[in-house]
Formats: sequence, C-alpha cells, structure tokens
Amino acid sequence: MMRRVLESARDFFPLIVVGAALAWASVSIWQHRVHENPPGTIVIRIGHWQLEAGVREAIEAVARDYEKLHPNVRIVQDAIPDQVFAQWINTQLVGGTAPDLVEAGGLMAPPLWLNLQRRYLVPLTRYYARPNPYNAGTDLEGVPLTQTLKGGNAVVPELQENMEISLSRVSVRLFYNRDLLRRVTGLETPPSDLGGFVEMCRKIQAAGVIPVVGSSYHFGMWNQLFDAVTYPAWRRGDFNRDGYVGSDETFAAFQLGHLDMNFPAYRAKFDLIGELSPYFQPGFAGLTREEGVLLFAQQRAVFMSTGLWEALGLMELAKGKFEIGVMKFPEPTANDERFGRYLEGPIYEDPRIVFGFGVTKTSRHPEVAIDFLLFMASQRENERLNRIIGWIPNTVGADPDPTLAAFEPNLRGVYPAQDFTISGDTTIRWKQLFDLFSVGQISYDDLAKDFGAFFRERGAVGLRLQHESWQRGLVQREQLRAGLLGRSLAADGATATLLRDRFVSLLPVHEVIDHAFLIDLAAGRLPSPSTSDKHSPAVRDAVRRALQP
Amino acid sequence: MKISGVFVPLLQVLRARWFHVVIGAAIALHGAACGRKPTAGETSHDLNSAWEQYGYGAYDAALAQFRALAAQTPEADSRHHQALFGEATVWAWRRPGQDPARAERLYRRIMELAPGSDLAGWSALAMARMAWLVPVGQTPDQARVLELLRSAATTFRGQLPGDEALVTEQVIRVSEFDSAEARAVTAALETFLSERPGSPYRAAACGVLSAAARVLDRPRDRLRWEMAAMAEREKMARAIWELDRQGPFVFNDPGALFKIAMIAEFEVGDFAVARDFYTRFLEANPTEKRRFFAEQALERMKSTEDEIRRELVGLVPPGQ
Repeated sequence: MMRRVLESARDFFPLIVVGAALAWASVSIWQHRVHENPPGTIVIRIGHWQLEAGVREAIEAVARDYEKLHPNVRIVQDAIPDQVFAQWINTQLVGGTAPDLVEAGGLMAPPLWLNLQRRYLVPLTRYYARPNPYNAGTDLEGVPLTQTLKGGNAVVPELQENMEISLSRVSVRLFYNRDLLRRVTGLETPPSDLGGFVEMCRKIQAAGVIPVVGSSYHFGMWNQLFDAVTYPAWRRGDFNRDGYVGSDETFAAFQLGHLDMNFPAYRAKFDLIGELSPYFQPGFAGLTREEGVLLFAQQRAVFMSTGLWEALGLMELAKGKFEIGVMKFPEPTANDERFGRYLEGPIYEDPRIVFGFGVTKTSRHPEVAIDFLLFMASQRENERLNRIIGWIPNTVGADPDPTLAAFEPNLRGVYPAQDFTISGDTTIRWKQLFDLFSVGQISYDDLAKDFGAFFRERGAVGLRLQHESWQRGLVQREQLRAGLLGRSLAADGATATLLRDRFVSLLPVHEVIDHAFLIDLAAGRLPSPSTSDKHSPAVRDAVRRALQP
Repeated sequence: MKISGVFVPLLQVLRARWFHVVIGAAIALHGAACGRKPTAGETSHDLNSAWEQYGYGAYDAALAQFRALAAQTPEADSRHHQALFGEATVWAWRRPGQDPARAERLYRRIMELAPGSDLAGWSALAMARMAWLVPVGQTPDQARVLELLRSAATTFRGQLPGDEALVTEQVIRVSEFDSAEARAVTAALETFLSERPGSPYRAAACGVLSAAARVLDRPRDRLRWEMAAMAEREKMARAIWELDRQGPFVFNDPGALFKIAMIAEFEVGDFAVARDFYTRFLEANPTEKRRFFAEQALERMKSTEDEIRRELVGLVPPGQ
C-alpha cells in the first residue's frame, strides 16, 4: 500500500510542488500586505528610477514627515534601476498594478510616454490652479500651484492638461580635483575664460597629468559650450521667425544656400572643439561613463564634466582623498580673437527640470497620492528634499544648499542654432563624423565635405520622414479631439462648453501651413523669405515715417 | 488509522479532472486578484463611461458600450445617435484596427436618422477629416477632401461643424501658397468672421487669414490677423477661465507674443508694436529661452531708430 502511495505521489509530485508554492506565495503576499498595510492604513507607493546617492533617503525623510501629519498613511518606495524602468512601468501601468505615483517620462520616447499619460495618469490641471495647502504660513500661501513652481508647469499641448508636478532641477558643470590642480599648476581656482583655461590645460598636460576626462558620456556635456557659438545661424535659417532653427529649417537653409558647413559660426564650433579636445585623454570617445569616472577617482585627471545628479556620489568618492571644486564651462571672452565674435552673450543653460511625478488612475487613493505630491512640492519640504539629495529645488523660494550656488543655471543667454537631426541616418552620420573629428582622426574640411553632401542628399528623405511622423501625430491628436467632442456632446452646461472649447483649440492650423511651407521652400517651389536681422529698406522707411514729427 | 487510508483517497482526488479544473480556476482567480480591480464604469453602459474608455484607448470596451447603448435605445432617440457616433468614432480613429468604410456607414446612418442636427454636421465633418488624415504612406484625395469639407460647410452653415469644415477647407487651400487661392481664402474667411461673431473658430480663422496675407505679401494684414488671432484666443481663454477657474492657465502664450513681435519688427517696421510684444514676452516669460534674443531685438530696434533720428536731423546722410 505504502508503495502505491509513493508511486502515486511521484506521479503528482510536480502538481504538489506547484500547489505548495502557490499556497506559500499567497500566504507570504498576504502576510506582507498585512504588515505593510495594517487595517485602516493607506499605502501610497512611489515609483522612480533615481538610485543616485541621497534620493531614497530624501524621499524617506519627507515621507516620514508626511506620515507624522497623516498617521494613517504609509509611503513606500519602488526604486527601480533605470535600465529596466521603462519596461517595468509599462507593464505595471498596463497590468493595473502601477504605483500610485510614477516618475514622469518613464525613460521612454516622448510619444510612448504621451500615450501612457493619456491612458493611465490623472490630469492635475485643477491642482495647478489651486494654492498648495502645504504652503500655508509661507510667502506662497494662497498662490496657485502653477506660480509656485520654477519650471515644468506647462500643460501638455496634446492633452491640454497638466499631468505632472516636478520637484527638482539639475545642471551640468565642470568638477575638478582642487588638490591636483594646486599641485600641478599652483592655481587655487581655474581660469574661467577659454584662453586661460587652455593655457592651464597645456601646463597640466606637460606635467604628465590628464587635464580633462572624456568619454562618450562626458564629452557630450561640453556641447553646451560648443553649440553656443552657432547662435548667429538664426540669421540664416529662422524662416518661420520663431527665434529657433529647427532641423527642417537647417535643411531648407542648406538647400537654399543660406547655410553650409563653411558658415563661420559652424566652423567656429569645430575650431573650439579642436582647441580643447587635445586635452582630453587619447581615445576618449570610445570610453564609457564608468571608465571616465574611474580616471577622475584615481586622481589621474584634473577636470570632469558632469551633472549635479552625480555630485553627491563624486563627493563621496573623493572623501578623505581630495577636495572637489566646481566651475562653469570656460567661455571665450568678448575680445577673444577667434571666438569672441560668435559668442554673442552668456550661454543659456537649459534648466533640466527633473524628478516629476504623475498620479496613476489605478491608484486606490488618488487624492492622498496627490496630497503627498503637493507636500513634496511645498516650499519647506521641497527645500528639505533637495537639500538631502543635493539637487536644486523647483519650488519658488525653496533655497538650495549653499554649496550648490555654482549649479544655478544661467537663464539669460545664447543657445544653439544648428540641428542636423532631420532623420535617423543624418543623426548617425553626424555623430560618427563628429566623434572622428573630436579624436583628431579627420579634419574639419573632411567632415564638412562628407557631411555637407550627405545632409543635402539624405535631408530630403529626412524631411519626408519627419512629415510622416508629424502626420502620425496629427492622427493621434484627432483621436484626442474626437474624444473631447464626444464627451462634450454627452455633457451639458459649462462642462459641455469647456470640452467643446478644448476640442476647438486643438484644431491644427499653423502647423499644417508651416509644414507645407517648409516642404515647398526646401524644394525650391517658393521664393526664399528674408531671415536676416538687418532691417530692410521698407522697414526703415516705415520707422522713418513713424519718427518724423 | 493507516496512513494509506488518508493518502489513497487524497491521490484519487488529485487525479480527478474536476480537481484540476478547480486548481486552474484558483490560479486564475489568484492572478486576477493580483491584478487590477474592474472599475464601476467598466460595467456601466452609459455614454460617459464609453467615452472614458475611448479616452483610455480601450477601444474594444468603448465599442461594446456604444453598441450596447445603441441596442437599448430607439432609433429616434438622440442617445441612439450619439451611440452610433461613438461607434463610428472608434472605427474612424482607432489604430490599429481602423475601419473607415464601417465608420462612414455609421456616420451616414446618423445623417439619415437626424438630418440637419449638430450630430449630423459632426458626422459630415468627421467623414471629411477621415478622408484628409489618411494613414502614413497614403496620399489624401485632395479633391474629395475639399468636396466633403465644402459640402459640410454649406449644409451646416451657421453651426459649429460647418465652421470647422470651412476653416479646415481654407487651411488646405492656403497651403497651396497660390495668390488666387489666398485671395479666395481671404474672402471666404472675412465673410465667416462677419457672419459668426460668437464662433469659437474665429481665432483659427484669423490665423489662416494671416497665412493668406503672407502669400499675398501683405505684411500689415498679416500682423493685423496675427494680433486678432491672439485676441480671439485670449477671449476664449478668458471665457473658459470664467467658467472654470481651475482649468489650464493659457494667457500670454510666448510663441504668439514672439511671433507678433518678429512680424512687426522685420516685416512691417512697426517698432511700437514690436517693442510692446517683446516686452510683454519678457515680462510674462522671464526665464524663457528666447529672453536674450528678445533683449537683443529691443537693442537692435533702438539702434536703428537712433540711426534714423540722426538722419532726420541731418547729422548722417540716409543709409550710412
């Protein structure tokens, strides 16, 4: 009998194992949930990918403050590595098991995120119009939320809604090993002008030390400086007079002969790269971020460009070994013979608005999730949160740690007017040639000859692809419009009017005409409009008439 | 009791087919319990819920709800027409799975059941927009699109769908960048503006008129229409704001302020207007990327004015 039992048990062994595992998993989940969520407790989960030093601790600290005010609420973090965050959040949202609060952007392409926002996030527009209750007792008391944030408060144009609240800002700077700098050059602080900086790099190199760490990751940050000298190109390529030169305008300007690779400001950008790149370690373009950081940590290099998000980690790395200094990228002075005329002003530094969060529609307690988000965005808590992380607060009046003063971005200045990303292949070709030039394998003339011809040849295809992508966007917008119209027709009173007006305001008009204009212009079917900053004789006549007594 | 006395019946149970079904169901229930709870709206068949599903991109759920509502309501009932409209909208705009032929049949059915109604107008317009916004890789049949738009604009003149049809037709025509077309567009839209003082499409119409003025090389008109478009947009935004103080705050659009300033400066030579709009741009958007650009523009205009003033008092010969 016993044998029969054992034989039968063997037959059903897999089923027994599966059943036991299932039972064990169910009990564990149940126990975990009871522990996490005692009866009457509201659990708010916050999902993000910021594994940098300080972030989890900062959320933890702010969460504990919030829990003191709301003893029935528990905040739980889901900190997911950035390599897998996009897949993770996608499946969580689709499966209906996403955290209550999710970090904005999802580390995915904007159209994908837009789609997820539309389906799975709660619009926050209403909260933007109301004061943040947690600003009571501060100078922001009674001020609508939108006016209490420094950035990231624009509505998503395609949805006509505010979908997220951003908590921080970061910027890019040059970090340096102060001890090594002193030892090699005798300087306490590096020169802020380009000429002086290059001269100093020469001395460092002569002493057998790498002046600047480069890698595929770090070198790109220098574009903030390199690209700024292309600003004068707006006078050749801003066909729609919006102050920018887009990739379609750059292509049209090439086709019409307004711009080419020999445009002095474009050439100046490469002269500038050529001036600095000899001071990066050989073969830097092929190195990874980690390899670059290692050189800096081993004190083999003096300077390294990186973002505020790495500041705390670097400080930790240098602790007890060397002192770290921070500076802006060196800029050519106005009287710099080679570059001064192209850098028309200070460099505008894009304030990178980060650490934004949206509230998921599957949240069981969306009001509590939003309340916690408002708590983190309040002046007092936003300051506390960012001081612990080491980032710049995004709330007005929330002061950053005094040591971060050097990271405040400059919001008045020149910006790039060169964009070769009209298609995937022009982008790739540009990057390949740019890297070869940066490491000294080709000259600018070679780059200009190769890329100029390629851009003009492939740009037309790129313009068509860009147009197709825009068409897809129009269909997506039409989907949204149709939904607004349907909801408007099903509603009545003020709600119906509001929905109808949002439907009307999303009617594409200018972009349809502007797209057709750029395509016809690039194809030579339209006369080329002036893009110059010189006032034409007709304009001067009009001004003269206005000034005559 | 012998141990086999317990195990043998237990193993028989484990071997039974019904037990496997029970285990399967338990696993499925466990999976479902870990997943999302259905919301109340998912079982409701009202229009709002169906549109909500459509908004989430849950097209099958939306379709099922629209169909259920259509089946529950008599053909003469406006809710029946709205349900058909919802179903047609799903077939028109879902991607993938679009079925334009089916959408068109439903839109035409609405026009039969409720001729002359707003919903019939929206249906006529939707057919035109569907013909215009074709999938990537296909070219719209321009003649058919214009015909559908004209038909909708004429049949539903004085109604909102007619307004949108008219404006969209002019958008397509002005994009030809042909003088004769631009003149016709101007005439059509000026008539529209005089006939429809309260239409929410006035801002869009002014924008198209600005584009037509550009084709006709009439910079003053272009400036006038851009300013009118902005004024209409702000009027609408204010009306929305009055209705809903918690809606999006959309005044002082930096793009519109900047564009008007640039047209006034470079195309018209009306530096007073240019200065006013650059200043408004700077005041409303102090951290905008184009701040330095706008400051440069103010300096550039001052420099030109100073130069012309010197010419006017005879200190400098003109043009030097």
